[in-house]
Amino acid sequence: MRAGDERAFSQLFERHSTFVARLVGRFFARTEDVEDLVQDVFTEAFLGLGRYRGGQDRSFVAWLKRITVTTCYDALRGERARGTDRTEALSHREVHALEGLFQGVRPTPEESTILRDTAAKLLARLSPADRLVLTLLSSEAASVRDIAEMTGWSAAKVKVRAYRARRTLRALVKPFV
Amino acid sequence: MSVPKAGIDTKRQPDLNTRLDEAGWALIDTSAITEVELNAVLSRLHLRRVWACAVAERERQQFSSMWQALILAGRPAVPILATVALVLATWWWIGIAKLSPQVTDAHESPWDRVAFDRTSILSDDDVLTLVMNWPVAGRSGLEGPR
Repeated sequence: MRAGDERAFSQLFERHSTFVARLVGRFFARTEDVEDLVQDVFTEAFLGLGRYRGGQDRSFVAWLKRITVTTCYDALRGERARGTDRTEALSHREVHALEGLFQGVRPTPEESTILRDTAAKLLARLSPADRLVLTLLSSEAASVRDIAEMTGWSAAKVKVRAYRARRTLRALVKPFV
Repeated sequence: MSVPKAGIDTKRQPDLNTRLDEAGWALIDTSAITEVELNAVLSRLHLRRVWACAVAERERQQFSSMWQALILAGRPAVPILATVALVLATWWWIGIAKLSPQVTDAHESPWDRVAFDRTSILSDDDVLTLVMNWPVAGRSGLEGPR
């Protein structure tokens, strides 16, 4: 692979593309975005392979996870910089769907689509860093140490960020609970 | 779920905070891609395309790094090149100044030029005679003394 071997790249891609796509899919719900970002992650991994230092402490998966998280974080920041409307009001239908979700009502397939768009709309109001930390805490069941490893931040920064992000998330969902 | 508990206000409203946390986690889970969509994405991701993209990016980076290397290599030569350019410019300017024609009066007539030219074959007395006999009204420059 280091010599640019396509076959080795293909093995790597086959082995890890599912986990990379799943992780990207935690941050972005649009399949086109997920596709593009997975491609970016593997491109970045291919180009950065010379910098990879293997070993017991730093597995290849952890290294690839770090690249994935960094790529997603950059994409979230880019989305924010493009000025996505974060104050867009929710429709009655969306509010109803959210209330149903928080009451534990099982959504219909149609409601699921509405719910996901609504959730994305609400989460877009969080800062990229808050969103990153919360998603990793929630979906990846990552510890503070894991997140620090993935983001390159200090453990103290992750703790502070997690505390503030949870507080913001509570404020975000409070009107619907 | 490993969540840091430091600083979280769990004493006053433990139930509400728990409920809000649960709602928040549910919101995050809902926003994620589903397994069906994930499989669709994976089936659309073609290795060839990803490989081509990676190779193209590598080539682009190599090209830009080549330019960077050239600029870095050429940077120490900048003061010397600037000095050489300055010397050349000065030399060129001096050359131009030497070649340029001498300043003459634009209103001077051809006859005056011949009469007052120091390299003329006319003597000073001849010139004085010419000037004294010069009709003022007819000094058009084209006419000679009558």
